Formats: sequence, structure tokens, C-alpha cells
Amino acid sequence: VSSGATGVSVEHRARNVALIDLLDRLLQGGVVIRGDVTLAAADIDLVRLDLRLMVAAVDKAMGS
Amino acid sequence: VSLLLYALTGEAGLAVDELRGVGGAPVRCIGGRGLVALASEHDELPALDEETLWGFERVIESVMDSAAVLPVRFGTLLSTDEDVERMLEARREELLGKLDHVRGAVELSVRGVWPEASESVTAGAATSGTEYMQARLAPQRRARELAQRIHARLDDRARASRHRILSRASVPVAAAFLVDRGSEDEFVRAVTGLDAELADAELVCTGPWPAYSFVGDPIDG
Repeated sequence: VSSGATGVSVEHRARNVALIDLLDRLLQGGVVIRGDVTLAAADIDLVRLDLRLMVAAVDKAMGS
Repeated sequence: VSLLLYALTGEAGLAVDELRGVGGAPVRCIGGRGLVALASEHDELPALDEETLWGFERVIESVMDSAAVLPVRFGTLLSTDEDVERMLEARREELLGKLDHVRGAVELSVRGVWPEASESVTAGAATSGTEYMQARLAPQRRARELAQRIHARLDDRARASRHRILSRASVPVAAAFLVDRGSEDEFVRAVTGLDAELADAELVCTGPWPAYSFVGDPIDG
């Protein structure tokens, strides 16, 4: 399906999708090693909050 | 002082002298006997923002062209070199097996998207419990069908694949493919071809990524 989006929104979308893909992979992928410490779960939640906002941004870009 | 782990690799002679990780911290190799970890030292934990996440990713990307690598789950901190060496020794066989699994391949992401938000498939307008459940389940069935079409077309071009159905109705499918190096262009052409055939969905492909989705437990086939 061709979206017919402008170059700007395609670029905006590609950037957001890449960031979502990055977050997905860093926080849910990779080899799991029991560290002495893991970055605090509260911090990760902040990132997830941002992720939700970015998903919303992607939806918006796609709807345009 | 904490050691932030980025990736594990079998290449002991990797040139990392110039490599800077999260917060500009120098990256070094810990380990030996054909299995090392890339790590950087931190007195304070790095801020968890976009720059940090990309900084982590850049370290792995800068070595993945010259060595098979297992990306480590972001946020893994160990205290000392000895802790890292003990971990590598204890899980040596498993980790070397995983390195073999991803050697010579990269990960490509394919997301299926409904262009117009179809979340409002009127679960609210349903008059009975049955209708309500059907309205709730229809998007999931649609997402599963899209995932099947994605796999049917692309699995032959990948070493391994997996997908998740997401609860967000407008971005319903997140799939990952482990693709042999050199076959990426062919794979992306296949994605583009399928995208053109789909009447109601759009496919978004990103990568190449380190094989994040194919090094968890257990090994994905």
C-alpha cells in the first residue's frame, strides 16, 4: 500500500518507527544476564511512557 | 563502579580502542578463550534517554560487521571483570551455540500497520455480550491473519523468524527475521512486494539490527 505521504512525514515516521524498534529490542531482546544491578525498573517505565507517546506520533504521521 | 555490558562476541582481537559507549565512556573487552564481553565503566548510571539508547546500539553496530555478536539486554550491569569472566565461563557452551546461530546474519524488523486507526471497531456500540466479544476479537483475528501472510511470504528468505501480536490495534504485528548477510536487499524487495499486495495494511521494515530477537532463551529455531 502506497501511503502517498510527503517526504517529511515519511522521514518523521521512519525515525519514530526506528526508535520504537530500538526500544523493543533493547528492553525485551538480547541475551539476559543476571547482573548484580539492573537499571532501575522505574527508569524503564519512564522510557515505556515515552514509547507510548511515540507510537501515538507514528499513528498520527500515518493518518496524514 | 559498574560495568555496563553491550554485547558478547567470539572475536578476541576486536579493535575497540577508539570505541566510545554510553555517555562517551571507553569500551573494552573482558574475557578470553574465544569469548569476550564488550563493556564500559560507569561511576554513575547513565541517564535513560534516547541518546543513551542509541549510544548503546552504536557500540554493537560498530562491531557487528566484523564479528558475530550477541547483543546483551540493555541495562545489564556487573561489578567487576571477574564477575563478567565467571559468567562467560559458566554459560560458555550456550553462548558459543548462540553465536553460531546468528553468525553471518542480521535482524530485520517488519511491522504491520493498519493505516487508519481501526481501534474504534465499535466494541462500544455492541448491544450484546457476544457482539462485544466479537468486536473485541475481530482485530486480533485480523492481526493473526496479517502475521500469517507476512510469515508465508518471508520465512523462506530468513534463517529464523518470530512475531508478536501487539495489543495496540493500529500497529498490530511486530515481526523479526534473521536474514543472511548479502540477502537483505532481496528480503526488503519481498517486503515491498507483499506491501503492494496488501489492500488494508502497510508494512514498515527497519534494520539491519543486531540479532536482539534471536538470542533470548531458549534459542529460537
